[in-house]
Amino acid sequence: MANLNPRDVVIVDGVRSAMGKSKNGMFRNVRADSMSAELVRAILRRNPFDTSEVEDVIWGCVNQTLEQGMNIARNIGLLADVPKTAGGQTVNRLCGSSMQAIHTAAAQIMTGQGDVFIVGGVEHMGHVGMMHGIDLNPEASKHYAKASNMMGLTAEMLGRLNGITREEQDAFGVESHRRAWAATQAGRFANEIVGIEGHDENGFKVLCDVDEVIRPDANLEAFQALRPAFDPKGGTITAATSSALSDGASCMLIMSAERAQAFGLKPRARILGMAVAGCDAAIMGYGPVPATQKALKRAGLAISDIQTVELNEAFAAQGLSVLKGLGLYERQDIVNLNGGAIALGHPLGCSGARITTTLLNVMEQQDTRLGLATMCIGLGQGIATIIERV
Amino acid sequence: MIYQGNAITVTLLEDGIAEMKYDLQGESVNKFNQATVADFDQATQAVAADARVRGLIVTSGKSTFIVGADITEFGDTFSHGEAAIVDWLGPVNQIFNRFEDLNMPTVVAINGIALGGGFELCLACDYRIAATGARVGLPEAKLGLIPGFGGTVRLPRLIGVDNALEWIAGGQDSSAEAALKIGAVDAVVAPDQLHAAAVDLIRQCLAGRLDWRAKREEKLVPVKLNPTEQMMAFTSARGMILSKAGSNYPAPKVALESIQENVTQDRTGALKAEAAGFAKVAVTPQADAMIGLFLNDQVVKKLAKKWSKLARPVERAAVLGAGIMGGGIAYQAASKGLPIIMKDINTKALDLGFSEAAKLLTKQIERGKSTPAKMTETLGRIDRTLSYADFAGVAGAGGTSAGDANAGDATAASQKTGGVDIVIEAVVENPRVKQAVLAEVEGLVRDDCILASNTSTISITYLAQSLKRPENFVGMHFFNPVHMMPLVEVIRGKQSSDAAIATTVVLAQKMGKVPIVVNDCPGFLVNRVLFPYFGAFDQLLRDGADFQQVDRVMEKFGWPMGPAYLIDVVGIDTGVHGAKVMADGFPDRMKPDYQGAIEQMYQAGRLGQKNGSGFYRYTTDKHGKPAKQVDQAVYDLLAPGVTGDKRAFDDQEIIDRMMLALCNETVRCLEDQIVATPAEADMAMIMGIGFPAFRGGPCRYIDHTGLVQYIAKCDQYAALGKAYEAPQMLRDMAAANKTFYG
Repeated sequence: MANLNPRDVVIVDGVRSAMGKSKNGMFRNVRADSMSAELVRAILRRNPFDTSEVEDVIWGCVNQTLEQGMNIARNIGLLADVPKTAGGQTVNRLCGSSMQAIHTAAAQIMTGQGDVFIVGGVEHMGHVGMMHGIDLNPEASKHYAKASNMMGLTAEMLGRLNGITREEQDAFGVESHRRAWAATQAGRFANEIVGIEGHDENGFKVLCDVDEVIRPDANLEAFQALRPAFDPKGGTITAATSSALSDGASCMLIMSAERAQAFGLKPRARILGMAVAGCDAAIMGYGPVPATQKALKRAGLAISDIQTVELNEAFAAQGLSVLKGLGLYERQDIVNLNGGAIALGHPLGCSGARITTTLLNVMEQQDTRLGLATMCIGLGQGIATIIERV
Repeated sequence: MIYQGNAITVTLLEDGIAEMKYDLQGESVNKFNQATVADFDQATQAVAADARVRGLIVTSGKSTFIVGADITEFGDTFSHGEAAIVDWLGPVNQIFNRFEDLNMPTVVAINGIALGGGFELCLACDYRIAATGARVGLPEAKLGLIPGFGGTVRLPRLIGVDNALEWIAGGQDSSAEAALKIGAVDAVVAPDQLHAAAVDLIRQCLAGRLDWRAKREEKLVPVKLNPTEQMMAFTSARGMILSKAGSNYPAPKVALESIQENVTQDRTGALKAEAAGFAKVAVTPQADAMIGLFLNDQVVKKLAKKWSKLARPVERAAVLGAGIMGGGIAYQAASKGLPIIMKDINTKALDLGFSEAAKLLTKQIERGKSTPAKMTETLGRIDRTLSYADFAGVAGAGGTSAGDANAGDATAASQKTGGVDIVIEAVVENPRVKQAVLAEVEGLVRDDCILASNTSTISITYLAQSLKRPENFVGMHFFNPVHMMPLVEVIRGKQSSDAAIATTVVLAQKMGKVPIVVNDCPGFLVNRVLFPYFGAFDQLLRDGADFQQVDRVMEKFGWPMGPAYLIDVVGIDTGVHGAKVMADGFPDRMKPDYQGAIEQMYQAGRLGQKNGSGFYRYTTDKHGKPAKQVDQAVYDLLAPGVTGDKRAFDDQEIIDRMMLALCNETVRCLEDQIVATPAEADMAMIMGIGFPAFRGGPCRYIDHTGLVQYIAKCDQYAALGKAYEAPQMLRDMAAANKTFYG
């Protein structure tokens, strides 16, 4: 660990659940907090250390009500037997929530407010609907368009502004499934997925360790046959080129380099740069572009230095627009090599730590050094994290 | 007194606060007619010139605030073309602007309905306080118009572009509470607190606690929404508005375009954009038709009001027969608070009729429109019975118990009180059965009890033959499904008394329906007009037209369903039965010398939606609603009946043939005095068979086509049969250079 400074923020490990379908999926009888606690137990088993030094459990979650209410992070810590001396906080940056959890932990370490953090995120979109309990302010109509609350319509607009065609989107969507299924079959998710007990379609209790959302049979003809989902008349985005509703959780172990070393744990990467940035709500999907540019600057890097990218695929039209904006459109061979949210689903609060975990694994599989994880956020934000394998 | 006008007075209250009160003399409501606008100008100038006045409240002296512009003035104003309309609006908006610019805080106290121009006045004030129960909105789109007194300018600046688009394009009014939530009013208070609340708000402004100037400023400048969000708002709204309004209703689209143009401008430029949009829609035939429709509706309501003076009280009604119609009638009466006895000859039918009512009520609860308590209350008003026990009154005065030993005795019956006031007979559509049932019940009820037969085709005069008191007997034609269809034809038989007509008219109104009184003839008004339309459809198919094309063309024309789809929904067997009655009644134009497609369907056992196959095939979609599908077998089935060359018809030919047959029969009903006025005829067709509302009805359609041109079309198609020949009445009108609506 010669290249690490003692106060560097390192990622010791990352795990995730398999992604379940929200509609009658394999986690229909599993709660968001239970699922999350399983991951915490697993990551602590994989990385044994003195857990009395855990400073905080920081969990990303968007719709913090019903089973996701009452500060789910604290509940997760207690369920997973994290020592009671550790704290617990739930963060909400919509789709960027669990990436924000990483950033918050990192900032704490950087400013000397703790050394050991368990972070992650969850969203059980089957149990807690995206719009459950939501009451939008009518006054917002004076400040941003109502339709900007409808992510599909924002992606339609972003795609239109960037000249993204239906054909490109369909191809992108099919490729996402192809890559995800290939990764599944080749065992490239084995290191990141922690099996969680759920139920199959007949109600049999089973260990769920394969992403249920991936469609192995995804093909262009079927994609082309679908009708636009958000703008029936002039739209180009279909259900198949949007991230699926799904249930899932993710978890990472973040430490200062010196504590990791003291525990004898081998970090997998260190964090080089982080950023959030805002943009117009009407084109919220563009957020990763300014966020990434800020993060690159903070890391002293250029986009050309980045060797592996995980870009959350909220929508194909959105992802492709971001790739154009970042100058990565021609380099799709370094983006989402194991597929993205179109194939795996996008449990809102889970996704930030999920793509960062996947990024770690892809970088190890590809043996690359510098990687970027970035995602768009509703109402016009982006968030980005740049990591370096160590 | 600062100002005294015919519509407006301004008085000084206290502390430099003045009250501008709208109280239009000689009218029951306030409206923005030309005279009121002139008064508004004078009153505003008087306020501006009075140095004592430091704040102004605006109030109404009526139970409503201001119901809108004076629609009866529109015809004249709009007849001079777009440029003249813009010229008219300019000065009016100057008056509103001068009011808005008064160098003092202004607060409006909205005590009741404030719609259209009335609400636009509210928007010109700095603050709006509403009483609970008040309703506000800009319903211009429902008249084929857009707001013209600054509504499209001020509302988006006040509540945001999306919200304003929803209000203006939809034309729905809102409760005070909904308006408060969205920011269209600033406070909602109890009616008795309204005046005090308005004065208090002015005081707070004068004390510098509320920044009224900032609130006003927002209305004078472009909206804050940035260009990207504007693009988003208008693009998404356009899709929604266009798909909802359809291409036949231009007003919502023009409202959107006008708002899109005005939001980037200051008030002066914005009002210009509004005026241009207003003028554009004001001269459309749609606006003419929908304004006409509004006026026709008033005519029909006034007629009903006139009848109500002759009506006997209806406290308790009964319906005979618990089938689809009887059950629907019982439900409708009960849901409007009228107790009703539902009688049938078997329990099963009663249970079925009752469970239909329960189903409708359950659906309302599911949609949050009712509560279990209300449902129980409503169902409790339906008294199911197998006997006539409760129909009779009791001999002598007072008493409520039924089953008088002499119930069947006519002499005893004549002195009875209590019992039912009206009996609606809704048994099977068979003249003999109906006559028997009517005669039976007549012997049991009070002498002054009205009997009304719900029939769609059988002559009321004929049914009256079995009765001892034919003067108490009328027709009362409900449409299926009863709870959905607003129209009721009240049919006057030869001997029906005015009291019987009047009582039935009032009952229909009590049941939430719109009654139109017509004279007796086969099919009465609505079906008499509908069957020639189906005849024209049959004839088109015989001549080689594709029924799917006919449906497509007529739906594009504005009908909710094309004729093939419509007859499927009505029921092919019902159609065939009706056609026979009509053929007997009017053989010269309704008795075909060939077997039509509808008859062919019937012969093949295809009864329409009810048995899953008619012109289309029907399956149940995932929401449990019937889904229409094309059935190739229908073409093979129809092939033998097609004598013309199978060809694609010109769309206009289809429209002309269908519409001529329908409109001509409407005119013949006027000729024969089946219906009294074009206004009633047009309303009946819109409500009864879904005639496209934006075309105003058959008479308005003839007016819009131009009588001479219309007659020329009749002449062109006269060879097809008498149904297409122009009625004499039209030729006379054309010769005298007359139109239906002058």
